[in-house]
Amino acid sequence: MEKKRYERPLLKRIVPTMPGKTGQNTNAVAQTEIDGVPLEGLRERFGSPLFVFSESRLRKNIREAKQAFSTRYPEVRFAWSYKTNYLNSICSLFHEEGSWAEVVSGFEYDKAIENGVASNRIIFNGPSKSEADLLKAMRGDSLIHIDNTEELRLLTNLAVAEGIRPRVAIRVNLDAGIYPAWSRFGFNLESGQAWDALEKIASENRLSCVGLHCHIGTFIQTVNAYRVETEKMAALALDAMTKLGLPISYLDLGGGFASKNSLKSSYLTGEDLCPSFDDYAEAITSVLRRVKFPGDKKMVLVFETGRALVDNAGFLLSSVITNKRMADGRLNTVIDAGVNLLFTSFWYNHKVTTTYDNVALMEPTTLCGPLCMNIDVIRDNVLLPPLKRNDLVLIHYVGAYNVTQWMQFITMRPKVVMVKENGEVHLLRDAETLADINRMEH
Amino acid sequence: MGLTSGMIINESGYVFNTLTGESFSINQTAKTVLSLLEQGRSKSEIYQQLLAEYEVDGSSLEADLDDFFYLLRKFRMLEG
Ligand SMILES: Cc1ncc(COP(=O)(O)O)c(C=O)c1O
Repeated sequence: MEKKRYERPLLKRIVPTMPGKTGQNTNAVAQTEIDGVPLEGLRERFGSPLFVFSESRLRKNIREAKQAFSTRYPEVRFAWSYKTNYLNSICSLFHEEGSWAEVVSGFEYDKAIENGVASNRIIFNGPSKSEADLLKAMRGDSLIHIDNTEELRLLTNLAVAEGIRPRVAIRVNLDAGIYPAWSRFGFNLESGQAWDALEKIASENRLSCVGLHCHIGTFIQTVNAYRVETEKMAALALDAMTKLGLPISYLDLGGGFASKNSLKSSYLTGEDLCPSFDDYAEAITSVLRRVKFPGDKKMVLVFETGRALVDNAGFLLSSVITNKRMADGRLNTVIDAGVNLLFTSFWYNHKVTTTYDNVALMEPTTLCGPLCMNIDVIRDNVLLPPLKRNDLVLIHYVGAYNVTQWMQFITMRPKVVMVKENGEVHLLRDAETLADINRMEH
Repeated sequence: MGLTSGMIINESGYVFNTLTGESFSINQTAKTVLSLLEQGRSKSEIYQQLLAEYEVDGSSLEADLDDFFYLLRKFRMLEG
């Protein structure tokens, strides 16, 4: 006799509530594949948990971003933000698409070099560059973005000692009308710090100040903040060129474009709120098109976009270990991927899908990882179909900041694969083993 | 052991407990379990029957039934 499809028995108390303001879709939407490759097969071949990247989404993202800007402005350049995701294959894909590299440490700098990036196409940001880092970068004619006065002094001294005239920008922080304002990095605009730094550079005449840099923050859903940033940066560039004679040729407006993730604090989902690349591009370029620089010079626009280019191209595939009823009646579903792999679950209500759809009744569930720790919660309240051991759970929009900030803690870091445009699946990174961990100990 | 009297279960998966005034939604499997309970079957008989009828392994079913009976007890739907 053919057996019937099983679904865990579910009993859900109906709690009278006020009708919601928004029509939330509570139907289960199944996802059984990524770009045509079945999830079940991925698990069989590479194990669980597993990070999966989509080549087609990565390429689509960077092409869309470039298109949005280049159809509105003649000179636009993207520099891949290494810390967002520095798996070599991912960096290389962006370099192949024409992106330069944006790094914030000597380690990331070396990685970019090993990925074949020409040293004069590396932007070196960050508040903690060592003397060795600065020497390496100036000898390689990289673009050094100065963060603070001591770094300015050190770099100027090195330039004199080495007889090199490094290409630099200063990092500027400013009030773009958003909270929190990132004023920790770089020189403040409104208080005059930025102007002081530019005056020093101009009067000492040892550095070639070819750019100005600003990164107003990350996950910025307010397009207007970029309009304000662009206005202030363009005005500063104009002054630096006309009053100080500095050869400013680019404005680096940093990263910060939002992805479609949903912030924990947000009432609406990121899918509803996220501005498009076109929205950002229109805000920024409409300001710049109105500014006239000396000699009709066209400022190059540089972006260090991270999150928005990679978040939706990454998935974390995991498997159900067990269901557990808490003493207060809530259901915990335990999966094999924990917060040590998914740092961003502290920020976001990540979208979660299963392989079931058309499920009549779903249950509010706390989705937990396998760590023996109370904080190991991937989603604290998500409606899921009844799940059983070994069912697949797919966590979405995990491409940014996770495969750099993940840690080996209780469990080790799993494999990472990429689904290629031709349907092949490539292993990008092996799973860690005990031997890897032990190798570093004595 | 059996369902308390005063439970109203309708075909579409709506359950009303007249003792507590609470109402519930149930899925198809839960409906099967409740109707077997109404017929006076024991938990282990229900386990055997589901195992025979459904595509499920014994240990998952055991865990799921334990959980389901825990909820029935918590919502005061079980006698004895
Ligand atoms: C200097 C700098 N540039 C670029 C980025 C990338 O930002 P995002 O991922 O928000 O685009 C960051 C990240 O915070 C940053 O600090």
